[in-house]
Amino acid sequence: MNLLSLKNTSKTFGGLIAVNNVSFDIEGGSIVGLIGPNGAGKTTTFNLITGNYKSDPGSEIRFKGIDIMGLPTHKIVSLGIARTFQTIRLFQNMSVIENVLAGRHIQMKSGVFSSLFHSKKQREEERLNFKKALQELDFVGLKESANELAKNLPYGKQRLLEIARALATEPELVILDEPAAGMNNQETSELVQIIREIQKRNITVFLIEHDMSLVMRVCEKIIVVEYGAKIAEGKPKEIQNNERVIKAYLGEE
Amino acid sequence: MKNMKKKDILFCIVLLILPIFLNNYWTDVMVNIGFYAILGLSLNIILGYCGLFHMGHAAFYAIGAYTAAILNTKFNVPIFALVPLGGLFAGLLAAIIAKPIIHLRGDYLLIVTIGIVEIVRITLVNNIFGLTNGANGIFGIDRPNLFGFVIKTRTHFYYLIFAFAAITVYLFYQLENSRFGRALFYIKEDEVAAEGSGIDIAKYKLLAFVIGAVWAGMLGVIYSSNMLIICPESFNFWESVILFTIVLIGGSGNIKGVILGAFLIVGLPEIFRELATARMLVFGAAMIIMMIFRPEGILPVKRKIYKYENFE
Repeated sequence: MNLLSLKNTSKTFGGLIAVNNVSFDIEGGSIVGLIGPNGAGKTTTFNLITGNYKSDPGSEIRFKGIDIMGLPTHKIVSLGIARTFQTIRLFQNMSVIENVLAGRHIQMKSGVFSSLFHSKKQREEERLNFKKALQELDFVGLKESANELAKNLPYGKQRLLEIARALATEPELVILDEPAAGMNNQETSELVQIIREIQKRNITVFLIEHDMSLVMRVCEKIIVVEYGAKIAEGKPKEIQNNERVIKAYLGEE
Repeated sequence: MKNMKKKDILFCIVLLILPIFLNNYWTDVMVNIGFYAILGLSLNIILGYCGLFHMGHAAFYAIGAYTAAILNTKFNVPIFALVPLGGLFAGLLAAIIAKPIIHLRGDYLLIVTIGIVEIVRITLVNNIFGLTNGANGIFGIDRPNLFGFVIKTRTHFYYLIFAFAAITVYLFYQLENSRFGRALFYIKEDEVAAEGSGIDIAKYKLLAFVIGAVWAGMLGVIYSSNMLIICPESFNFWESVILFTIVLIGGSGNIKGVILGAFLIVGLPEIFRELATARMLVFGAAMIIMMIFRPEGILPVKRKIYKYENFE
């Protein structure tokens, strides 16, 4: 069964059609790329999946067979979809480890009273989740920065921290919105490595990226959108030779 | 407790022996500071941790105080038994009125919360259900009775209020460093990212409101037995503004900052009482300078440093 499937999904803002009747499926365990020129509706599509925007009537978004349209974002996260943001959205004035702990939130249970009184169970839970958070930091190579403030990290590391925070929710699908933006070559190759490691953990990756060499290197399937509509879908090789895609990117002669 | 620094312990010892050196007037000033410090700490959960601009905190304080005054004068319920009840009623009111407004942001929420405190005050003035005795207020409230020991002198109240403050500081410190407290900080930092990390922001904002209100309500009960007489004017908009200022000037989100804020905002005007009207001018100027040069407050939030051995 497909992990995520969109059917005839649309989103209009007033008169502007940002996403137009898009349908695609994402298989569990794969790495899928979503590409397209600026303003094609890629991030809007992500926002529809994660519930940040509500899709227009007639759309259908299913995750693990469950209809997730109209669910609030935090519910969708607890179902197993985690994301990063195109413009970095970290908790800037909090420490790196606390940022990752935000992702652990849904895996923890302690409520107001155990938080006020620090029951034994609460302390046990804290210890366990610190450990998990630290493992995620180690996974992206940020363990040594655990106590630094998020805003003091260099740009590339902030992106990695967002990935660590998303992974800390223990998702089945992780959505990365331009993970390589602002990274140098060295950092990008490290990112490729991390994305492959994520796949090895049996987590499906769905990413938007403008760095074509990265997309072609890691993605098993690529979906291309232009003006809100899907224009192509296939393996990297197929996409590279697809005339409509070439036209969309390079223009017509 | 283990994390207390030397100067914190020193501060506690000073507070403990201070009444010996103070006359009745200054002890009363200290009691007042204690009240405002605790109220500030309860507002700090909403405003400091969660970043919700709430300027109607006196409303919840009023609910607690009036719960105590009515039940004590009409049914002779002892004050200490009313403390949880005052908290409960204030918490219930907070849950009901905050639910529809919780999604409002910044200044919009501010305006609505100002409305809340005014509505509560006017309701009390209008002698609702014949319970609140209008603008005259309610008098004849009992002193708190602790297993036969009646708390009545200024010094008694001093110790009562600072014991309450100590418990508050301890519990809220625990709260800061927990799943719940962190969730509030995440919301203040970035709502979208918090929701995107799986935090139910509407629920946590509401809980922040309720906890802050419960605390203010409980303190309201003690306030009524401290004053013996309460009237609607004790809970006007100005009180809410003072609380708001205490949190912002001291350092919103920082427990020590809020306590410092209470000392400055309530204590300093007393010290400079001889300057009469000029003191408010100086005070206002100081506040403006503060907001320009240190908008995060005198003591900004300092996040805990976690040691690896804590979780390995």
